[in-house]
Amino acid sequence: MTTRRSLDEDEVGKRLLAIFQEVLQVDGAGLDDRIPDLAGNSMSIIKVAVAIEAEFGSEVPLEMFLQTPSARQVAAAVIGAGPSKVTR
Amino acid sequence: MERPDIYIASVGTALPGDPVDNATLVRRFRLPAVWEQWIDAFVGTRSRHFSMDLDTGRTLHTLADLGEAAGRRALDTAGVPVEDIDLVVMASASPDMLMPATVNVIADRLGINGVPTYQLQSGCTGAVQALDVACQMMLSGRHQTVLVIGGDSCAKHLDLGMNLADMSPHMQVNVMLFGDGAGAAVLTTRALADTPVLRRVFTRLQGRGREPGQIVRWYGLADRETPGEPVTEDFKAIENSAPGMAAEALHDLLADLDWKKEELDYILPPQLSGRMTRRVLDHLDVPGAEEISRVEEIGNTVNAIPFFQLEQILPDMVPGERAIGISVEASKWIKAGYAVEKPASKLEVR
Repeated sequence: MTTRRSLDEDEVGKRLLAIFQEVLQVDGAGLDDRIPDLAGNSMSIIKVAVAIEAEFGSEVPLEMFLQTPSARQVAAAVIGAGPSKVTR
Repeated sequence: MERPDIYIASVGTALPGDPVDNATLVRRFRLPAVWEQWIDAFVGTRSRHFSMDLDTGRTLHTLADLGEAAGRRALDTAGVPVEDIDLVVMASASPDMLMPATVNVIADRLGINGVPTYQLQSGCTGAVQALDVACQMMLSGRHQTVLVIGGDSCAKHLDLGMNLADMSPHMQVNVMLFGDGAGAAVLTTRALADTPVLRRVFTRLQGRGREPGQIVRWYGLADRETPGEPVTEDFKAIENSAPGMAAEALHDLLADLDWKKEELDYILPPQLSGRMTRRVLDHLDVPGAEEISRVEEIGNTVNAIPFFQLEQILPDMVPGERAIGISVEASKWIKAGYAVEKPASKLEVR
């Protein structure tokens, strides 16, 4: 029998950093580093949001990307959104 | 020679089918659910109408169908027999066919014949350009009662089989921005009591040396293999340029008319998207005028826009009230506007 456990913020955050690296070309960022300001760049926001939905099955509030959140803050939102894939 | 007043005898509009909300749009095109949130936040359009049935993929209405319906409503409302129409001008970015011109198909269906007809290939300022052509020809004294039509349809661009999720942002966003519809107005130089007058129409090309902000391609046998995307936009350029161009158009119109912003009772702003309309309104800075917008409810209907806005105010305008409509076209950059006034009293009806 396989036990599914929820991922914590660090684990989700690391996977988010990979998304940020691919979509936003953010290299070498840590969990608590803020992402670039995406105000006025709504297409980047939807690309990140679509990648998050594909990775975790979670739909996060898009407004948060206008506040230059850290990967850890986005991770909390992903977990808080009741994701279907935030388990392993 | 005194310039005759041009009365807006009536306006008629037509929308196909039921409104399509964002959730339905996202679901029908198999987009990730978060797109619905994105449309709400960054496009600001709640619903739109399509000529295509999103359940079956069948196109239920042509642009000629919509234009005919709008034209018939305008004629009926004005109480003008088709025999009195001595000129038809239409604007569209999406004619059913390049030939015959859709304006002539519509004229035929309405029973209009033996008069000049013109169709302008145009984007968001097209209806204003059509009004301008109509007005100029009326001011020549050769025409008295004119049917002006504007309309567009996304039918050729909506394919339920396309994998929109993997397409470019241009294609994705276009599906969310636009809606189908048509509008029409009957203009006349015959004096009509208690009827708004079209005081001025203004269009200016501002495209010298500028890259197009929007491109709509059409294809033939020779270029069908490598056609490029049918519709592309430079959204950043549009976002940067449209508010300023709209403000310039408003300024130019007010100066030409010797009107003041404070005297405006209605402002009919460009309808690019719900969100862009808000930005443009901030630039226009006419807090005393009532905003007339339909874009959140019916999307960007391109050449039909002014008619949907005008039909909201014409029945309510009281003597002395003034309205200005503004439009901006991103294709090769055109600013445009028009001014409407209900004469202050019957004595002023010349």
